[in-house]
Amino acid sequence: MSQVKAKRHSISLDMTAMCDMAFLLLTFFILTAKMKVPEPAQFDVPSSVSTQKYEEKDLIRISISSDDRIFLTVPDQTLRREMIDAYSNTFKVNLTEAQKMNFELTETFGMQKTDLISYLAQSDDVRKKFPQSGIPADSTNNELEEWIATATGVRPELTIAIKGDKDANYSKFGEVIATLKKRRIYAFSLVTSLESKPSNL
Amino acid sequence: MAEINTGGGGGKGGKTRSKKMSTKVDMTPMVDLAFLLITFFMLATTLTKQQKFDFGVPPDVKNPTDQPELKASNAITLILGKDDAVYWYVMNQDGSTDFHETDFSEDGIRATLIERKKTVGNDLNVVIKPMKDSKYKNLIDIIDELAILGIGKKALVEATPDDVKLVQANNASVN
Repeated sequence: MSQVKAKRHSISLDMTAMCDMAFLLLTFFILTAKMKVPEPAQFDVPSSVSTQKYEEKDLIRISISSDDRIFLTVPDQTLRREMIDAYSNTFKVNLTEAQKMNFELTETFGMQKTDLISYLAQSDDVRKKFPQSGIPADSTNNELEEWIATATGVRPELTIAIKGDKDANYSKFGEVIATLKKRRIYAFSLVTSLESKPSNL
Repeated sequence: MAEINTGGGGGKGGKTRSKKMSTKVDMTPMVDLAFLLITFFMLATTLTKQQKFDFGVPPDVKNPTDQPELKASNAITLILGKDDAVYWYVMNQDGSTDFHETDFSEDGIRATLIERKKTVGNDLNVVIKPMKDSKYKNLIDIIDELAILGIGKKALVEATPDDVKLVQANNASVN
């Protein structure tokens, strides 16, 4: 007597193809993802209905934090190098090669010149916790103008973006605008987050 | 894993079955992990995207006569004040002004601007004068409001002492 064997269908699927695809996508996203560098302050940007994409390409960004400190962000590393070389030449600031290297690694900073020099001389750990009091931009001591002059001197085609926190005071924004006007920059972008357009219009 | 069975051993009747090991690996956990990471990277890259809008300021004019003429009746002046208050006024024909206080709500500044746009048409000029103690958010909100309503003509000007006086006079009467 022969036993009748119930044919068992395997429920396991061949997942090779799915796995291939998943890893392909994963590789794509990892490669295109841009690491977010920790910033010295948090910016909660106001929302607008504008849908233009903000990309950090060929620009420098002036940020205003909620406690009215001004920061300068230079996303491009080669530009940072050119800037610090030009800056130390123009404003007769003696910087060692190591300090310039540290500036090259600093995407965002917000402090006055004297603080910046000592900041650049510190080790990585100290620099992360370094108190940043903001770049002065008032009429008596306008260091922001020096930085913008340096940046546009090295790259004349640079655009300027301003990213302000919701709670930043207008007076600080006014100072930034006045500084830009001094450098004859009348057009710039404002960074916002997306908000849907009201539908009842 | 896969061993080669060189048959023939023993030869004691019966077949020697080569033991077949499955080469299939269970990929479920790997796929799970891959998709988890994909989700993470997708969200991390797309959710942080920010928007921008371009904004321009007029150059300062040294000589007041170089200032382009502005028809006063076509203009509306918005003063941004403390605690999200908006004040607006329109210059009348006889030079007098009506001074109003409103807010950022839909019935507030938006209704005002829509009404002005209806009466004046596309020549409407909006002069934005933020006061020192207004917030950056207020300015963005106003510019955004203009973008929603399709009003292209706007100018950002510092609030003059006269404007501050107007606001103070208004606030004193309110409080």
